[in-house]
Amino acid sequence: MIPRVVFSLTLFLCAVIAGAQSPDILLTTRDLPGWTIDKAETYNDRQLYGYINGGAELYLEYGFRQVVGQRCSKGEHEFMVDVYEMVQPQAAFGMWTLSRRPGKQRIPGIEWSSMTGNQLLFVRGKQMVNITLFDSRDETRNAARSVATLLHKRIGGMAFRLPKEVVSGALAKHKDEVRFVQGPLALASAVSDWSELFEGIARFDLYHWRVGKGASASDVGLVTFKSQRDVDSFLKAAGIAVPKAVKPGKPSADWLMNAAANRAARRIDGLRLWFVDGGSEFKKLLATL
Amino acid sequence: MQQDDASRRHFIRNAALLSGAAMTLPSIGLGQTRPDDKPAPPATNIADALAMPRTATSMPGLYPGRVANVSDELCVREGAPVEDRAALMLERGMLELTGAASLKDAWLRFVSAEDMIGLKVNPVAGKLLSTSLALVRAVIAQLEAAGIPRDRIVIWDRREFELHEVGFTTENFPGIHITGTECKDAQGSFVDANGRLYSLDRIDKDWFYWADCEEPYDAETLPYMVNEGKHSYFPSLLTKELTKVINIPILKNAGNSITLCLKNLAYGAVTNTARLHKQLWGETSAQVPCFPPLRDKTVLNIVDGMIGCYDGGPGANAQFIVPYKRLLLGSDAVAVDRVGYEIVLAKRLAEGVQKKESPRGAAFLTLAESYGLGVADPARITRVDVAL
Repeated sequence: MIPRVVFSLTLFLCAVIAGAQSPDILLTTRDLPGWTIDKAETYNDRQLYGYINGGAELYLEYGFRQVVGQRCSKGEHEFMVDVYEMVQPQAAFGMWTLSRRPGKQRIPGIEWSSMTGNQLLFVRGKQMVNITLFDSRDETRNAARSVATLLHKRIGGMAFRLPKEVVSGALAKHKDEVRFVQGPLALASAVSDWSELFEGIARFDLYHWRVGKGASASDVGLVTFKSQRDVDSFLKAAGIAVPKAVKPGKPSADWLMNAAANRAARRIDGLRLWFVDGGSEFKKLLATL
Repeated sequence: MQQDDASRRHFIRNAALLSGAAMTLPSIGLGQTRPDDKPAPPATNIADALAMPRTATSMPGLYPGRVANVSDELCVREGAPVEDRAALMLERGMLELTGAASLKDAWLRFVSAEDMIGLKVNPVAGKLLSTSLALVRAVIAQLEAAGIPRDRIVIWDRREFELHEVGFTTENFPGIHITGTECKDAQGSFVDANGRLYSLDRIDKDWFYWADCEEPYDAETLPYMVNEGKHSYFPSLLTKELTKVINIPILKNAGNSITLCLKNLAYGAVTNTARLHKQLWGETSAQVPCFPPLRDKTVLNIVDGMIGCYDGGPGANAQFIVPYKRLLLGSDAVAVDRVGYEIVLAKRLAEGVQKKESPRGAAFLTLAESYGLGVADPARITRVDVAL
């Protein structure tokens, strides 16, 4: 009797766990009447090279779990829905910030989203949803939008809580342009000018903004390092000397400067610091951050 | 040029002799940008390649430092390349590049009816950002018009199934052999009944790029890498069957650099590449084409820049895909890459993706130039701009 109970309980738990594996992201013809929805193809982290050859490394660097792809078609209308599940919401947010084109239109009703003529992209919880349109006709666009809204609602879940420095304060008005970077590959894509500053630092959390326009824009980073050694390496590469009076790990009220290069850093707390790099907004940013 | 047994043995002997020397070779090019306290990149067997005698067809080929840049506002319609415009651009580019009196003469400067010609395309980013069928059809039509039989033309890449996915199929290209190293059977399996990868029968272990780094692959990843260890093998199609290669990449970025001619040849030819991306990205792009199967057979590069990208590459991210509306042609892969790099960089700067050029962006081109593959210095490149 007991084994049977245990067996039943195990089956029940398996069903619950299976149910927790994002079944709601799978589209059916009921979701899009009149359209053909192809069978979903799922690729895990070990199979990703087979799905997005040429881009897999970036997903893996952030922390990737699986992608579920479904093709939707109706006559000549066609679009592809890819739902990327990352290991944590920060990773999904980071991938989204690198995948979207800053300053573009949002999908109505979806905060962390972007929309262009042939792509709808949003992040929700651990999922980044990428809908690629293969034609630009209204019927395709409307169907793709309805799928985006549907998936956003179904995925639900916890939205990623951004640091207060991102959502309030001097840079809050630039939050649509923020990028979140955690490793060297993402850095090379997002802020390639900084790759040498982070040379040899494998993991970090970087929120990056570009304030201003064109070549005169200022780059701003809110960086959390994993060790004091990494902080020291970064400051050295940036040409910023740290006076002996400044104790590691303590917040600093004053900016540490590399005046010749218009670079400045200020420790916020622990291993977190602001970094401002050149541009026309340099002085203004030092005064407001 | 097909390697005969003597030269293959010569290569293997050199490899054995020189692999120790390669361990002590300083890393040039990319290594120069590293701070002094950073470790040098892993050693490779580039010295083996450089020791191999060059031939009359070795890169940079017939027109060192010369690039034809042909643009046409009408070549993209409703987001897709237009085949007849692609053909016109190609024709004009071939004539401008070669200075030949006729199109047939232009093509026959690079290939002959006796050659087995490989068209090295790039399908890795899928349908959105592949070498276009329109351009490849135009290339084949002009080769045929120059007297090259269809059965002497092969469309190839590392991954056969990716070729099929983007439309390089026998239905679309009747009479043309379409093949890749990494392949599946009709049931979609990478392995035969004994669990052996089909791909292993398509590589030539006599020809390899060796680098002192490795990465273990799990069962799912291995079919896309073919082998583990420190060797990346060339495909036997390239080493044994093809006598000429026409390289047809796409105009796209890879981070703050590009993935055009050299990278399409390097990463698009050899196995076991995942281990190379992190530590030897630029070195691999510059060094693998130094090996005779690529160096001596790649006679022409045609960059499909009708549709390309400036960010998100080398994968396809629709938001960053743009109609550059151009083709770049040259026998000199390094010079073509340099011109393409400037086009992509200008777009990245204009879009605010980058504020200034990264010193690393074109470092692999300088490295390639140091190996004698072509001209990387813009001041020594003759760029012929033509607008249709």
